[in-house]
Amino acid sequence: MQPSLFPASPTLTVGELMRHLKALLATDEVVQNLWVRGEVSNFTRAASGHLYFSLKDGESAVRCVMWRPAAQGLLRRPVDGDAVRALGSIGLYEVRGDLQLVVEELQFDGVGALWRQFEALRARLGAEGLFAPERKRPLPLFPRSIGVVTSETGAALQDILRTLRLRWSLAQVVLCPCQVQGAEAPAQIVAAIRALGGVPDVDVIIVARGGGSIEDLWAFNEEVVARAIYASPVCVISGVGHETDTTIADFVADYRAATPTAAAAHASPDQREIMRSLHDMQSRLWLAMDSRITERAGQAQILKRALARLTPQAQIDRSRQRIDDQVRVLTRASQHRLQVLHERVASRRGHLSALNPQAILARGYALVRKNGQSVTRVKQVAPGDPISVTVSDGSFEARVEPV
Amino acid sequence: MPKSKAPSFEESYKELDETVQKLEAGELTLEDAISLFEHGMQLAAQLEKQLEQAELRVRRLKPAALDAETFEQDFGAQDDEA
Repeated sequence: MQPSLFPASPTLTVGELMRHLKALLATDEVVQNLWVRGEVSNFTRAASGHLYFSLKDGESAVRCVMWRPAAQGLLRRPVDGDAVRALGSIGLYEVRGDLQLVVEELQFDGVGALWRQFEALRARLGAEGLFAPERKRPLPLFPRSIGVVTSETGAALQDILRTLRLRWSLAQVVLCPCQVQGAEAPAQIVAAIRALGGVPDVDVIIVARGGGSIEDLWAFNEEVVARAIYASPVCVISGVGHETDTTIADFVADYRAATPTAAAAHASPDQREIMRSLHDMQSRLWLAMDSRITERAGQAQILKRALARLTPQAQIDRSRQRIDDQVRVLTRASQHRLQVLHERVASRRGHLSALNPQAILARGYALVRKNGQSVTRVKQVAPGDPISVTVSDGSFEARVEPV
Repeated sequence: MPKSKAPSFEESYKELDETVQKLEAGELTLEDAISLFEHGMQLAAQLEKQLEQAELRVRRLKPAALDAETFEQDFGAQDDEA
């Protein structure tokens, strides 16, 4: 600053100062797009998903913020002590007057080599067919024993046991404790998987570890572990780290669960559901039995009716009915015949009246009787015999005269 | 896989399922239906009992020596009581 002849330096409000500095920073090409190398400290992750930390070296520190969209692109979350390189630009946080590096990208020094190794192994094993979907084995429906490969002291074991106790307490857990991080871990994990594969009744093996940094989880990216999972005679479920962590073990496992808890849930049926299905099957048994009985009862009714038709009483009843029917038929027939007779008689009566002797007498003929006998021939009488003569309106007595 | 003498839960469960289906399919004499029904109810009751009485057992296996010892003590059982 040049000393002024007029010592009246400008007076700015804090806000004005901040705006001025921001404008200065915004026009500086160096601080607008730069890589900063340092060690992570005071790392925190806000509920909003933004990351706050400092980068420091032996002499100084700079505050850093990584907004959520950029943070989501991270391969893993940084932890204090990580040596990193951060790409970003320097801004000013007016509220506190702090300078901060707004980080767009974060690279882990020393980890880059691990990731290259990871990708190379993944490509090689993938090409060899270790991840092929068609070789994934089916999960047991009702596992008898569940093998668990994890640390005896870790939270993962507690999560697994708690989940299995709730879901499938019928099972037996066979725990094969091992270190899950560090130099010894890969060999111990391999030994545990092999040992459990040879235990009778172990139907499924859970390989699990709680969350941690990429270095912590590295044992699950070792080729020997991948090959042990591949060679396991029973189905393997992996549950390593948190949702966002993926290891080579996850690719080889028959099922990949996001967490140890999820792995336990995957390995087991839900006994509350099984209980419900048992109740359901009992209801179905009752219903089916009921309809079998109803069916049989219906058939019994039909048989009963058929049988009733064969009793002697029924036969008598039927004969009686047949007789009744015939009587009815006969009656109807005889009535008809009587009527015919009646008619015939009536017509004969007409003929008979034509033969009535009275009508003949009326025509002038006379009926001669001797001692009550009709006289039809001359020889029947002698002269002097008394005779009776009947004409149409009465009779008179007479005497035969000699001829 | 080696099989124990007593039928496993899975075997009994499958048998129950088949029994129910057979009974539902019909075409049985009444005697067969009754014996299927009784068998099914027996299986269901036995499976239910197994589930009700089940308690997770935890066994510890030492990979080095392959000598298994059974833990009667449960790991963190208190957590689940709540």
